[in-house]
Amino acid sequence: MKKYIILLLAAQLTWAQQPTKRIEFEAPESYPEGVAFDKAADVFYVSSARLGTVGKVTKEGRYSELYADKTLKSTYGLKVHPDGKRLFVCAGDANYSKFSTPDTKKKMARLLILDLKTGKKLNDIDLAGLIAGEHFPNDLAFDKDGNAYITDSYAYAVYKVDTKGTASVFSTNELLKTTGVGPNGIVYHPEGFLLAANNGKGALIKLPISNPNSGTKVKIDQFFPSADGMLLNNNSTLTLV
Amino acid sequence: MKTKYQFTAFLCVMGLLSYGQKGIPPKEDTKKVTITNFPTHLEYSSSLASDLKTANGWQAAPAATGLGKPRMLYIGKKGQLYVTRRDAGDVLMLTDTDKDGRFDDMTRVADFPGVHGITAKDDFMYLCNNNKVLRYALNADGTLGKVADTLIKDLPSGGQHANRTMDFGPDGKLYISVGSVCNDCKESDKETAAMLQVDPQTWKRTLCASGLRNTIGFDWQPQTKEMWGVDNGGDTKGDDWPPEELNKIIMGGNYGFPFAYGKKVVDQSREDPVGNTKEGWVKPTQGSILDFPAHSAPIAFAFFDSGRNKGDALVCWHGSWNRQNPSGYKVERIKFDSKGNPTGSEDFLTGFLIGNERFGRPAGLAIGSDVVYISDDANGIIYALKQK
Repeated sequence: MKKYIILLLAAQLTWAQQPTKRIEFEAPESYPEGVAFDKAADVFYVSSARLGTVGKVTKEGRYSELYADKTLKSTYGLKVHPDGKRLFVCAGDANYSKFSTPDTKKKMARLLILDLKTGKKLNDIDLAGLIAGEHFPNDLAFDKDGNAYITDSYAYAVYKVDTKGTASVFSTNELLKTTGVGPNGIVYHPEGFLLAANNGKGALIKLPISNPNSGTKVKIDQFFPSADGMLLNNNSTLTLV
Repeated sequence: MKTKYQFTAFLCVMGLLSYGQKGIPPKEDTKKVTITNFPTHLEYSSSLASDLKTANGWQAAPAATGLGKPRMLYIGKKGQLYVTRRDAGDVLMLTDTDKDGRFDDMTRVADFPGVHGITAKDDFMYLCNNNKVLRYALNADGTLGKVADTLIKDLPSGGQHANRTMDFGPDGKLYISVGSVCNDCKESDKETAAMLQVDPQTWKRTLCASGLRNTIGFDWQPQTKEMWGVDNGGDTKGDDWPPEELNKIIMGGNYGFPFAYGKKVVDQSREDPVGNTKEGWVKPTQGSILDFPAHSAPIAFAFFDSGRNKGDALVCWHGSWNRQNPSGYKVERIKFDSKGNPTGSEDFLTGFLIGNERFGRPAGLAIGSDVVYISDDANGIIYALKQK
């Protein structure tokens, strides 16, 4: 098994790309947690940990609301589907929502699928019933076939939602467990595996698509406690926040 | 006529009252120059780490990196290292599964906002933040129970010195250090600027010692069982005064804050305490046993409990922010003689300060049977020191 050297970009590293110009926008009180870039439309989408909305931000910093729904509490990780037409959004109530209620606090786990052209909701998939206990649907990634994989930070699991919209448990590997927030950011590597950041273990867990419950820890020089979102720049470079 | 007298009488009473709340002010003006100098932060690099100097016969190596702001340390039953992170509000447990001297596995074991002090006894781990003490069941694998008992929830508010630490003494009681809320004031809450003693049967607390501005590091000498602590002296009184102090902490002792520092040297800039003079108030207080350079900022302090170093202690000097020539930024060993008296100190781990730059600030300390762990809360590193 090849060992992948993960290089982490930081502003301090002299050879690394410099950060681009900062884009400031106004979305009062929203606490945008997740961010996704739509190449075709040249816009960003942001979620809201406090209001549960989904917004659109232009490169000039103009914010507009894309989707809102009275039943939503917090929205977290979001990604544009490879087909370029849909936005997948994690929706839960794990921490900062202004609208939190005992009914939904750490219980809600939904995957919303929005049509990017119209802003309408195409699907609303419940993930809360798959595993008993607390939930925090955090982030997601797509494999090469368009299946979505979603991390649940409190259930210590990765769910799979296939192209038909059917949800199942993909992995509850021991390495995803910890105390407090566990699996957080997640990426798909073209060589056929997922990398999930375990926030509480400060580790990257490699989950092969073909062998779901197996998992290994990626060998890194340092720990990353509180590891959050990630993006795969290319096959040998991972950016981790 | 009547109203005029009433008004004059009122003014006199007010004047007396204002003197009454504080004592007589000093007759002579005082002047101090305060310099702020925050040595420039340098990011960690393994080459800077390999340039660190250890005491003769010791070697140091980074055992874990990337930990953010690791503060206080505790070694578990199986040699795991517990690390409190006050800013992140969590406790991490590090394990060296392949026994190569570096921690390769880590997991969070508790979420507790502001957590700082840590200790364990029997099958429980105790954690505290600035006003609560929680007790968790210690599982066999070292993780903690999900739900904690709240033993104490009303320690006085942290103010300026919120880093509570605690430990069980040889007498079985739990001691909690509560720093002052201010730089330099007559505390109104008796439980601040103090060492508290807690009865583990009732969880009721009494005052053990007072006049301790901020004694984060304290421990018991293994031979004499006497309690020792290192206190942080006050700021804004110049570069070279007051000293950091090593005190022998006795029940009922008053260690001088805010009226005196070091070897009972009175702070002439203060007004007198009500109904007394500064000198009168300071007379029965305890002076320090050893003094150290001002503003070095002692954090953790611990004795070697066993082995060839038994009886000596280590102290982490976090480093100054308000001194032209920086002090601290190192770990020192304090030597104790066979009677349990400190005889002097020497460098144990230095090299964090390079000119006016620093790539680490030693904070936490844990002494195991054959290893010393030191946390650096500026670059998120745990160093392991072994004796050759």
